[in-house]
Amino acid sequence: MSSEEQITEALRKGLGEYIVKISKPRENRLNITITKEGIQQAIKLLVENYDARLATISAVDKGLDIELIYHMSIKGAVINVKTEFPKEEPKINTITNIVSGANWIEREIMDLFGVTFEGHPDPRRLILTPELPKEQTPLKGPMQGVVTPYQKPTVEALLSQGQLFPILSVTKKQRTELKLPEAPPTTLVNMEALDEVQKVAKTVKFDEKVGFDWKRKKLRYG
Amino acid sequence: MQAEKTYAVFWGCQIPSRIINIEAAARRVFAHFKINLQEIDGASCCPDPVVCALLDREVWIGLAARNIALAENLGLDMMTVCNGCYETLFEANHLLREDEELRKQVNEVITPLGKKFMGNIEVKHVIEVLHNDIGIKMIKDATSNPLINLNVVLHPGCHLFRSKTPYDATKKPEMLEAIVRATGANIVPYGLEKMCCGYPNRLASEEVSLKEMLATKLEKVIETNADCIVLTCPACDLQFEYGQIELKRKYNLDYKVPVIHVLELIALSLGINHKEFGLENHRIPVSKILEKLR
Repeated sequence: MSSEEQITEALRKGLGEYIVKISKPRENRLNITITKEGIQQAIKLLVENYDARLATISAVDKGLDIELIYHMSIKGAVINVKTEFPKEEPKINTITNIVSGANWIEREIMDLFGVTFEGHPDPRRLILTPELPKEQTPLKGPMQGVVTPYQKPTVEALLSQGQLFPILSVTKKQRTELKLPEAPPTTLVNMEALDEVQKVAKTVKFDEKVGFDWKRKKLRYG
Repeated sequence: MQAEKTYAVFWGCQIPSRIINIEAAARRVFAHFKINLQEIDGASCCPDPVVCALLDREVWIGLAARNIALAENLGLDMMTVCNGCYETLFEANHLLREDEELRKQVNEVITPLGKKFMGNIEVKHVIEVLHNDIGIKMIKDATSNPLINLNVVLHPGCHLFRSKTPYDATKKPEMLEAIVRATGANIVPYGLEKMCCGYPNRLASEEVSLKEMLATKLEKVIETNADCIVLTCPACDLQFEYGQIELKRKYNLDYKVPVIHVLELIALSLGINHKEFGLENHRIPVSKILEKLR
């Protein structure tokens, strides 16, 4: 078993349910995507068991989420530990308690992307002037997804009610006057059917693709 | 002789919520010709062939397959009253029948819901049911109030040209013409029958949709002095009606051309009182049509 395979196996065992995806794009590269809750455990495992060195942390504004990539170097190979969290709640545990050299890198990301590293020993501004308002984070853009403003009403209506238009009470009255049933038996009145429609959307990950907030029944942007 | 058949009726989102007069006319017309309409319990949006189909093919075909499977469970062919629903459901039905791999993938999504796409029903546009199941002769024979004084222009709508092969593309628009003639109404050509009303363009540019597309059509219609526009699509109906109101408000372009669905036209020719199906619910006054009926 090669060392990369050993590391993959150790990560699978050690991180368990935190793992989202593991891929090997090429020789000497390993990408592991985990949920943010597993970040300290992942870094600790690599540092303590494989003598990994933190090269740096990259931050990426993905429109709706911030992605952090922890580039860990192990004897010429690079293990990229990736994790994402929503821009609405840009928080993650610090790894300075495991790699003290992460201190300034996390402060830089805090400055530029507005990410809070919980448990950081010295969360002062690093490269931006302290007088600058905290909300001003130059590399964090506005919430942005694949749905354009003109598509938004269609997507929100489809996911929240399974139909593009509600039947208003005034229309129900008009329907009764014309001797029509108050409403056809669609997802507007059949909640089990609506649940099915929403399950289809979730199964094909349409909700994730468009960035739908099921609690608010709205897109997370726009 | 009367037609006797039952269809699983797919009303779509717009008709039951925004243009109920089409639904009311449809129910009365089909009852007259003994075509039974079976509601599809649990139907969702088709989903729409413009926004949803372009945004995510998987959710589009998954939801379309679920709707078709509901009709399959009833053991009935499906009839759509909306051009957009026809586009989605006809295409999805066709794709899922032809592509075994796609069918397998989609069934994996809907099987946990207790649904399965079998591919054993046809999806028909209301025009096909009127033309092929009821027939031109029967519509003509049933006409108690021939609309001989009514001059109409036709707007088939883009999705009515949807067909299995390009060679069949004009079949349904031709069926529409034959049906309208059977009511006694005179069809006046205006040269832009095949031009889009501009409804989908509204999403990208309201000005282009209204001024470049809708107004261009209306200018030509006005030249013919026709009494109304006859169409088959609820989305086109909304574009022609609300669009005319907006053209007046935003650009001071005043047309006031009445717009009715072909099912309403047939209802009038059958002598059904216009109040019974709410003809006056149209946003553009229909008095010009009613005057010609007297």
